[in-house]
Amino acid sequence: MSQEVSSDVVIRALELGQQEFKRGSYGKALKILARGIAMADDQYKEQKDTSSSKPKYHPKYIMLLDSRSACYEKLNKLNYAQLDADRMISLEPYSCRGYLRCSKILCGSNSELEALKILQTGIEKIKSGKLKYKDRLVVSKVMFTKMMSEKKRLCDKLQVTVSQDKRKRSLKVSSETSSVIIKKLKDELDENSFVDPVSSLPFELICEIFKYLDQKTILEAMLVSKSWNKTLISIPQLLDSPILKRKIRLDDFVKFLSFYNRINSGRKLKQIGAISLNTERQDEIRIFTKFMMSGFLVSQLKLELSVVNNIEFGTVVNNNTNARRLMSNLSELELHIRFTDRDSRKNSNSTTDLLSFLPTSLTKLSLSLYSGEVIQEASETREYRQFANMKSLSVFNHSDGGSATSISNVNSWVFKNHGFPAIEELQLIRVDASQWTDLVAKSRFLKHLHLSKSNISLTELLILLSSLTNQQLQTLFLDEYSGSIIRIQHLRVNQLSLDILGNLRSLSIIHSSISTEGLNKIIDATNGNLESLTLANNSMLVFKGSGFDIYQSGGLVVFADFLPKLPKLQRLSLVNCVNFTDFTMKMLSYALASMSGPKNLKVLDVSGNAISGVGVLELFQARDCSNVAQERLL
Amino acid sequence: MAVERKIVIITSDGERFEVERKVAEKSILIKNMLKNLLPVEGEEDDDYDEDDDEPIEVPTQNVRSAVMKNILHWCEHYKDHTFPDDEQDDDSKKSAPIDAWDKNFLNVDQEMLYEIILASNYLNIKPLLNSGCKVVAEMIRGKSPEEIRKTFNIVNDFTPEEEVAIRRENEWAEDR
Repeated sequence: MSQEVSSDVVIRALELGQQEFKRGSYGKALKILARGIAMADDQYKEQKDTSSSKPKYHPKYIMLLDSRSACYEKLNKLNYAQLDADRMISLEPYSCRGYLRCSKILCGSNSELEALKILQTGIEKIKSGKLKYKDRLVVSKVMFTKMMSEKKRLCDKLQVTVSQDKRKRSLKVSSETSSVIIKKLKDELDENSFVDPVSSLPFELICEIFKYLDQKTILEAMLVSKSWNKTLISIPQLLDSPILKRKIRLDDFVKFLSFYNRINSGRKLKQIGAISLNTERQDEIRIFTKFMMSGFLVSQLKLELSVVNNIEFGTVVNNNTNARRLMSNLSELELHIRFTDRDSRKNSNSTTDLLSFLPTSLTKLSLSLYSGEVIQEASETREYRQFANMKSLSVFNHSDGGSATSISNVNSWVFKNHGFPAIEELQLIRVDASQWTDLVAKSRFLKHLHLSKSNISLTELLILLSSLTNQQLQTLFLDEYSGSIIRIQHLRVNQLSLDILGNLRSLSIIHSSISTEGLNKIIDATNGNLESLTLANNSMLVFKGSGFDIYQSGGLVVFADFLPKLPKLQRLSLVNCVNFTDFTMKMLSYALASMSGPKNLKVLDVSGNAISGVGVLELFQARDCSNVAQERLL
Repeated sequence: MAVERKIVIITSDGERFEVERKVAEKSILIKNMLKNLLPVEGEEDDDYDEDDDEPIEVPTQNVRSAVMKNILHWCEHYKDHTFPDDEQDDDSKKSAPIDAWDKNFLNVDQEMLYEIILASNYLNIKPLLNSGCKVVAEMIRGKSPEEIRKTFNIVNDFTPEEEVAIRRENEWAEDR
């Protein structure tokens, strides 16, 4: 109740004070206004003490201050007048009134330059406020115009002219004496054409801008000013995928954790989108453990471990809730790890799944295995785990260390008793065919198949694939390389159904014993959908090297025959080919230039062949009418 | 009958801009507004017949005329251009350079640039918003704090000690 009464009193005080002021009795007006202000101050204090919400000054408080300031001014107590005006500005920085009052007082004390500065600051402040809050900020047009005209008047009086054109903002000095002051003023007025984006744009648009910037720039920008620092730190998604130093040391990693704890402090869950960890060797165990227990949720993780092995990994995951949570939220994992079934702590039981720490929710898994000692093969009695969401799997066995048996045992732990029913992309390097043929035979969604040095021949692979019913295969990459052993095996494709290749986009055949006949069969089966073709190091595939070449079995590669069957070809690589000469190059150039050749070829790679400048010249001569945009010739 | 009704955009300071429908519809906000007001072609609505020649007024309270003039210039330039659908392929969009015409168009003083960004956000003109944000991002990219301060005339309110401390906190980051 007393609140309402005193509120009325404040308004009454203002009215009375203004009346007295008009009559010229400034002293009396001052007393009345001071009473009003004291009353409003009390109200404010009372609110602050009693209510939990943010206290507010009386709506007429600014008017009271303004009027009192005017009284002081008339009574020539400029110091007090100034204090009230300053108060007004600090209370309502986006209101014109305080700036106007302040400049008036300063003019009264012959500090016109100061007055001009205040007006300038005010105008800028209000403009940036308008930008920031739009219609939520109501600025009195009359008052603002008054500010502008007052600024103009002062400029004129100080013999400074401010050009209205912002691009050519300049000050013309007409008086010699004031040139120093003018120069200072000019610098300050020039600020007008630079506006801080962080303080004048709303949060969402600052995000929009900074999402285009890289980590280094964002970290530098955090040093610009306190407000930039505060704003940027509050947008954790900007640094969603931190790029850490390679070979990071423990002390720097601790800094990383505290930095990310800080930028995630406003979030319910501490999240990182993608992170790649590669540590200094002696700090690896401690960094790995700290990271796993940090409580962050990560969606894409790359770990390059050289000390921690699979068993130690499993132990950390099993013994810590945060680590378990981190693992179970992963969607993509790339893991470089030493694989062993020898527990250094001697407390293992051999039935433990050596990959038990892998969450079955993964969509993408890439394992780079440095085999330690794996003595046992995975037993059939292990629990069968289904990776129902796994779309992409890649396994890369490093050949260093570890016997062939050991590698084979490692792979049995990966493939045996693990199901990948949704697999779309499979990449295997040095994984024996016996491990994965079953997986391929069962996969219904396979789109991309990359096989390197995995102990299978093209014929065997095509037999395997022909049993698949899907026609979604888009990429087939086979590098048959197997060291010194050359497996000569003619492709017997006549009996095979190659429907599986009907939608193939990319085909690479390397180190195989494919013949021209076999190649033609395969190309026919692709229905002209191929966009990329790579043939490299195929010893049985012989090109026509001169007009006199005739070859016995299987025939020679004749471009005029097969290029017309590849209308969509964009990339053609013929590397280390047999009998590929300048003559061959000439034939290729004709075939590419002819109307029936591929129209969109962008990359041609004929490196490693016995061709000279003549052959290349042929290509360029013939190319005038073709669309080859770029070639790589080595 | 087939005569297209005129669209009049009214700015916050009361200025009126008469534009073609397809120019105005570069703004998804206005496009959606018109969808509710105008019958779709071929599907005549009797209610609208009588005032077919009356222009449709579209008030935009948040945009002043100087900014609107620029925005409409942009819309006019792209009126026959269809932009590819958004949201897909985020990475390639991020690294794509600013369109040369947009870059020249956005070569205005900073205040106007921000106002164009704000207006294109409000009017929902995604391609213009993206270009505008990229222009500001380019003003910041690869610069040292001091260079950024110079670009926007920002006062450094860090003490040298504070600056050193922050730099030390960032030592985890790969320097690239």
